[in-house]
Amino acid sequence: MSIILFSHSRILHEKTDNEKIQGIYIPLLSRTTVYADITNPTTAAVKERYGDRDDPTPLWRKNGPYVTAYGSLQPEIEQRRQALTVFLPQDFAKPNTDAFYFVFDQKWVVHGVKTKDENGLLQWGISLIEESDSQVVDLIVSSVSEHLVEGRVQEILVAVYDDSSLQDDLEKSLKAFEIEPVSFDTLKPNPDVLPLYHHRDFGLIMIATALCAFLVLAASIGYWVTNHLELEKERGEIVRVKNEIRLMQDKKKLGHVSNPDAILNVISGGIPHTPSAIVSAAVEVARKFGTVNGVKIGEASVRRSKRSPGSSKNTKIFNVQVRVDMPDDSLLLDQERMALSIMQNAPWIDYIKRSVLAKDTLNIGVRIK
Amino acid sequence: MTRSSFRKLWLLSLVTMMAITSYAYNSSEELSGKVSIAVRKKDKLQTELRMGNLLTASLAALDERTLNEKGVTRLTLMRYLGIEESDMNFMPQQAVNIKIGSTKVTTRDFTVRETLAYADALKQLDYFYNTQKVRMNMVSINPSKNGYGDIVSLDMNGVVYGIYK
Repeated sequence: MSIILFSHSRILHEKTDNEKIQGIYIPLLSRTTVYADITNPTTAAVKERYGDRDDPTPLWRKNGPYVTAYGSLQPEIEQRRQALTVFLPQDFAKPNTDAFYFVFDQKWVVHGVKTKDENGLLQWGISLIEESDSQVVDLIVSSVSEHLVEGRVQEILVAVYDDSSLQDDLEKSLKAFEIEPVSFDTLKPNPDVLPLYHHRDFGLIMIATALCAFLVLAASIGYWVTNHLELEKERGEIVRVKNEIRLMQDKKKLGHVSNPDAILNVISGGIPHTPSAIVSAAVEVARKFGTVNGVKIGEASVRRSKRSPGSSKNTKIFNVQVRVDMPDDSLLLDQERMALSIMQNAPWIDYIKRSVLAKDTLNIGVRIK
Repeated sequence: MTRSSFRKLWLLSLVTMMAITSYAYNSSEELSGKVSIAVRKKDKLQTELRMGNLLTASLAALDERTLNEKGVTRLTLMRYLGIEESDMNFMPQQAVNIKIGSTKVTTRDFTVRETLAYADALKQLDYFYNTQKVRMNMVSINPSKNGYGDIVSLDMNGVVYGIYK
């Protein structure tokens, strides 16, 4: 247990670490004030009545209809970051205790005696005694003897804070009185009384909040950096593409021509395939009918194929006119049979027709993809 | 550090961090907007570049397949077709100006007449076809009156296109 033992003017004994602090205030009768007219007491309201606004925080408690102010909390104690709870010494006494002795730091003895006031109400009288180490045992023993002799005190509580050897000495000395000193750490404040002052330690929560805020800050900065880098990258890309466009425009030929594809389409007209292939395909077929006397190909004879379902829509038919010297005794029927046979074996031939205008001319349709 | 000074430090840190966070977030949103604009601009430029490249490719092809009309002579025409050293009968006609879209294009009909072997005739025709510089309208191959064996008379009508470059 961390302890601060203090009075209105100074800290008497302190043993603290990072855990919550138990404050024990030694009240002075001269500084204790009772108020009967504070109906809804708060620390601020009691402070206004007890002292000025600039004075330290008052240590007060509501006792029935009355508000009792015992003193003020020293700022250096109030400013402790650990959780702090302040009680009076008598708050640690058991309900049936009539007198107590609490020993701190081998020299401070807090002595409390329960008495009845003129109204018959029980109240505690607290005194603080400073003794040297060797005198503490004797002091307590003699005081206990006096109480027992007087007979007004039945139950006496002796507690020693953080000093097992002193506790052992007291145990030996008080054995005759059947009083067993206990360690002050084993005592707990009376659960029926409220502390004179209490503040919590929100340090952990505050640090956690600050950490969360820091993480959010880091995320925001990360988001900003990401966007900034992205923007720089896109701007770099824009500059690069603009340079490429500039280079392209510098190298561009015929810059004044806006429709090159249309002109190229016109130029690409005419005979749609290598002439030798077209001529050879037609002549090879025509030879079967007789001696070839001439070949003519021209652009006007291009049309789409309707011959078979297997032809694609990109297939064109190119008409080739071939003059053929056919034998006089050749029957039309035989010529027709020959034409059918040729077309079966030569899928690149779409049709073989005799010209209407010239009997010795065959119009041969050559398929071109 | 006292309780109140710790609290003040905590508050100060918190307020500072929140202020920086707010500023950073608002700046980031602005930057995000600018990034979107920059991306759209970049896409537009890339489309322009792509279209420009296509156009450039087409213009390059057109440049290859058309004659420069500045100072055209019969010899330049024959050089353009690659037949300046050939002995074929090359008969160009008067140039005619036409408009294809908004571009002025010059067309020249020509006739080539030659007597040669059948195989050479086919090679000659393929040569003209492969240059892609002429539009071949009509080809006629007939047995040569003065020749013998596989000697044929080749007649070809075509068109050469030109642009002022």
